[in-house]
Amino acid sequence: MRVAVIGAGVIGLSTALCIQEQYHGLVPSLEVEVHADRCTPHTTSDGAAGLWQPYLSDHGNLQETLWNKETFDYLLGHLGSPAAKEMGLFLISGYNLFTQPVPDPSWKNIVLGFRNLTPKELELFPGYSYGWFNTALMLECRRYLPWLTNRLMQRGVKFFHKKVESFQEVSGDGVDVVINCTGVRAGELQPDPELQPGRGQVIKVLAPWVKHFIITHNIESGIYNSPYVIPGSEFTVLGGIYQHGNWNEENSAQDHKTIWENCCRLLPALQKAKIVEEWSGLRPARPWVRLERETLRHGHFQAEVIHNYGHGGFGITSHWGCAMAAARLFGSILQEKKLASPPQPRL
Amino acid sequence: MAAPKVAVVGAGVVGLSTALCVAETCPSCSVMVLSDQFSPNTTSDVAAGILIPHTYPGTPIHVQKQWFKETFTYLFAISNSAEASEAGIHLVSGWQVFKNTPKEELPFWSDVVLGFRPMSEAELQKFPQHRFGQAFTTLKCDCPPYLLWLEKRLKATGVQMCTRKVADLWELHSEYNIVVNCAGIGAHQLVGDEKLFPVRGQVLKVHAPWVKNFIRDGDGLTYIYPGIHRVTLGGTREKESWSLSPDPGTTKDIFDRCCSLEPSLRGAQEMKVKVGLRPSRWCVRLQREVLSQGGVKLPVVHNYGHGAGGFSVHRGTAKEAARLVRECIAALQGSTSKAKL
Repeated sequence: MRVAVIGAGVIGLSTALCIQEQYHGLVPSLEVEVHADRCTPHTTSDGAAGLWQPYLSDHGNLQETLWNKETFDYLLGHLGSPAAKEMGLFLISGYNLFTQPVPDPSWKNIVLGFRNLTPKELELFPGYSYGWFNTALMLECRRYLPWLTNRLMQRGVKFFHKKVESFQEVSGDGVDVVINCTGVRAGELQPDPELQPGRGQVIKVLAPWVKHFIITHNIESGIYNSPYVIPGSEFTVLGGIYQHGNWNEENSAQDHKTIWENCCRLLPALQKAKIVEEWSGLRPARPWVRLERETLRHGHFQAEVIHNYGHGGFGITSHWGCAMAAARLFGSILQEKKLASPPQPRL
Repeated sequence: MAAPKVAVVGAGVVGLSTALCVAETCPSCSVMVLSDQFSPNTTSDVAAGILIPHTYPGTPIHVQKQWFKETFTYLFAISNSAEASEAGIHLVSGWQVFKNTPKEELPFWSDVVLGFRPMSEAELQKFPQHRFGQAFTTLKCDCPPYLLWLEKRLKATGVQMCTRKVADLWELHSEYNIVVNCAGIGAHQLVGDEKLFPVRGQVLKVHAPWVKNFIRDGDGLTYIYPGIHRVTLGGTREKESWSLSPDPGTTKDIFDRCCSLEPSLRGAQEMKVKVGLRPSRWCVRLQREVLSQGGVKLPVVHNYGHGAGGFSVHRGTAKEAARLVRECIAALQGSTSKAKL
C-alpha cells in the first residue's frame, strides 16, 4: 500500500507522520512517501512566525475549533519533553488589542490564563481601548519542519523533490492513496475557486528585549491587516499584511513601510531594532479547510485522494488536528479495501 | 551656598540612580560618583534585576509599597519609549509558584505589577510539584545595559564618575559638602555597620532564547528570569557568606532545580556563573547623619542595605535620598558654621 503525500509544509509533513505512525503496524506493506517541489526552509510554513492562534471567530465552524484544540493540547503535552527545543516549541504570552470591546474568542479556554486587559496594561498601547492577555505556544517551522522530516526519514518515509503536475502522475505510478497537502497551489492540481492567496509580508528583526506577542485588530481592515509583533527564539517577526487574491511573492516596498511604521508606533523601542530579513508568502485562504476524501476516476482506474488544504493563516494552529482527521479518513479507506481492522476510537 | 558639592559613593543601581535623582532635583549641585567598581563589576550586574519586591521586616509596608510603585512607574515609562532597548528595560510575564499555599495570597505589591491573578488549574499543570501560583507581568532591568544607560544620563547632566576606593567617608570632608553613601555591601567596612550582612547569591546566566516567561518558586530560592540576551537561573541565599567564588556543586544544584521547573533548560548553552553579595539589612538605611571632627561637620545621607530588593525599590529610595540631600543643603545654608567652597 503506497501513500503519496503531496506537499512538504507543516500540513504535508504532519499528515505523513500521523498516517505513518498510526498505520505502519496495522498495514505491514505501508509505504509513505512525500512529493514536493519546495521543502523547508522555502515553504509557506517556514515564513510564518509560528504563533498558535486561530482567527477571532470560527464563524460557527466547530470542527475547526476542535482541530485547533487538538493541536494545542498535543503541543502542550510535548512542552516538557526533551524534543521541545528541537521542535521549536515553547510557551509565549502576549496581547491581542482592539479599538472596541469584542466577544471572547472560541479559543479562550484552549489557551492558558485567558483574561481581559487591565486599564494600566492598556496604557502601553495608546489607541487601543480593549484587549486580551493569554499564554499560548510558538511552533517555529524553521525547526519543526526539519524535526518532522527527520522523524519521517527515520521511519523510512521517502522524499521526492519534484513538482507534481497532476494527481494521475502520482496515482498512475502505483500509488494507492494520494494526500493532497498542496496549500495555496492546490488549484493547479484541481481547480478550486474557493481557494485564494492571502498574501502576507513580514520583516524579521533582532529585538530580543521583546518577550510578548502583540496582535492588533482592526475590524475594518480585517484579519492580519493590522500590525503584529511576534518574538521568536532568534528573531522578532513584524507583520500586518493580508491581501486577498494577490499572488505576488515579491516583497513590496509599500508594504515594508506600512509594517515598519505601524509596528514602531505600537512599540517605539523597535525603532532601534536591526532588520535581518524580509519575506512574503501566500496564505492558502479558503472559507473553510478542505479536509475530505475524493475518489477520482479516469477511465479504468481510480484514485483515492484525501484533500487537506486551505488553512489560511492558521495552518500551524490547526495542523495536528487536521492531520489526525486526515489519518481517520485514511483509516476508512483501508477499511473499505479490507486492509485493516476498524480503527481504534480516537479523540 | 553657591554650588554644593555632593559625592555619591557607590556605582551600583542605588548609587547611580541616587546620583541621577540628586542631579535632577538639585540643578545647582555639582555631583560626583566615586566607586572602586563600576558596571560590569558591581553587585547589581550579577542580579537579574527583576521587579519583584523583597519585604524588609523593619520598614513599614506602606513605605515599601510607595518605593516600589515609584520605581515601577518610572521604569514602565522607559520600557514604553524608544530608549527601552538601550536602557535594558523590558516587560516580562510569568508565574510565581508555591509548593504550599502561602499565608499571604495577595502580596502588598500585587496591585502595582500588571494583571496579577491566581494561576488557573490548567496553568498549574505545568508545575506538578506546586499547588498554588500567581501570574503577573512585571519589569526587568538588564545589567550592564541599565547601569550603562544611567551612567550616560549622568554624564549628560554633568555628573562625573571617578574610580576611587573610599576607605572612610571622612576622607571626603575637605572636597565635598555632602556625601551620599550608596556603598551597598561595602558599607559594612566603610561605616562599620554591623547590622549589614551579606546574603550570598550564586546565579547562572545561560543562552536559552526560547524562554520568554519568568518562573519563580515562592520560596525565593529557585527562579528563571529571561533577560535580553541571557536567562538568569538562580539561586542561593547564604547568610553571612562573604565568598565571591562560584561553587561548582551549587551550580549543578541550581541548574537541576531550574530544569525541574522548566525542562527545556537542559538545552541551554554558554553557561556563565556569577556570585553577588546582597547587602542585607533588617531595614534599608535611608537617613541623614552628620559626621563631625574638631568642629568640622560633614552631612551624610545613607542609602544602603537594600538586600534582595535593590532593583525593586531603587528609584523610590533614590528620590527619598535626594530629598534628604536637599534637607542637608538647606541645613548648610541656614547653619552658622563657616561656608565651604
